[in-house]
Amino acid sequence: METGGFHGYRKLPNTTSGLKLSVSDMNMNMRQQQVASSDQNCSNHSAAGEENECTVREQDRFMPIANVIRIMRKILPPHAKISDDAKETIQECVSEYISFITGEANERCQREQRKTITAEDVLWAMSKLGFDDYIEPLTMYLHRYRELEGDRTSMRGEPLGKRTVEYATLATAFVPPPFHHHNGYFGAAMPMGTYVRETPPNAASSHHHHGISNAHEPNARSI
Amino acid sequence: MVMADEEENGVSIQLEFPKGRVKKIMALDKDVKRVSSEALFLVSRSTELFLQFLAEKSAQVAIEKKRKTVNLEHIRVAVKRHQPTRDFLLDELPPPSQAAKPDKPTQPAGRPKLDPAPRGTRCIDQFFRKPEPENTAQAPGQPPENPAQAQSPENPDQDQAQSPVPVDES
Repeated sequence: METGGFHGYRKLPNTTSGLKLSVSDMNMNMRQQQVASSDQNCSNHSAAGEENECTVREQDRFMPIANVIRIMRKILPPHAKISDDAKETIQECVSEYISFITGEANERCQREQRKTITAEDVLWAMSKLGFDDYIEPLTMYLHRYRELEGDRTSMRGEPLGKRTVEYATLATAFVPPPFHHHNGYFGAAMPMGTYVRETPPNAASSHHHHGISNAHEPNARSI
Repeated sequence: MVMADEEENGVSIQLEFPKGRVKKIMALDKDVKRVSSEALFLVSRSTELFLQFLAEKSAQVAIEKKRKTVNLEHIRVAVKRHQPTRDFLLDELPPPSQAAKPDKPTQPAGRPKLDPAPRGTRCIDQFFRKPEPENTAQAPGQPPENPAQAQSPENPDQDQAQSPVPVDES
């Protein structure tokens, strides 16, 4: 089963170094991702699955470095600096973490012959892999998320039977608002253009607004 | 651990990471079929917690060494001090020889060293076996499916970062 299914993703040539990432570069990347997202929507229509057969660029394999640095700044002492190689290494560590948790959650999902990774699979994976400290805060966040989900469902007027991220469904059901929504879910997704068919021309300004609002959000230490 | 301001603003589950990017990284594993929105949210939030943890520990190491700049070696020490993180990350970090030049301005070595294949199910099995032979708590459910890699030399430090061969199932 797994032997036939697994294919390692070939890393693309490193065309963009993390050192070169700037605000303008990230904006360009986001616009390119919108095109890529359209391709994904097309492939999802035909494949009826979430397998991502589109070409994934180098920068898509890592979290945006601006987000990474912003979160780190909240934790580090005010005078601390971060070397460039440390920034890049942290980017890679974060991606490795996501792949690590995902692989474990997916294994449990497949063992039980399900096709959709659920929140319970993720919590189980973290417990199994030794990140038990995260389970309590994440469970709390999940409860809040579900409460908000109820509000957003009534807001949208179209409840989703399965809480599954499907581009096609979201693309048809949701029309992007012109401004940044206070709801974190859409606010986080819209600048990336992943969950909407088209992003307004002011996506860049929306993203900046999103960043500014996040800057005022205090961060409790969970570890 | 409640963020008062978050609750006041009504954005108690505001995410720092773009979910689209998290989704793409999760989808790099072709075995991953579908991800519920709740699972995607949890992975995003969990990744934030992990990043905060890494930043905090790296900062502690930098302070111990009386440095104001967090560099690669501080991250390495922080990773080594936390067993679960060490299990899956230590081999991915650049070898210590690179740490001798932490402020190298061009093309940091960390990125080319990264394995072409993202960490799939089998690769995780490798990480469990290489550093410690007695890592039983987290590997029991995963029989070795890649004998060639399972027999690769078990060197917990530098060689691991260089010896991994890209996984090619074809």
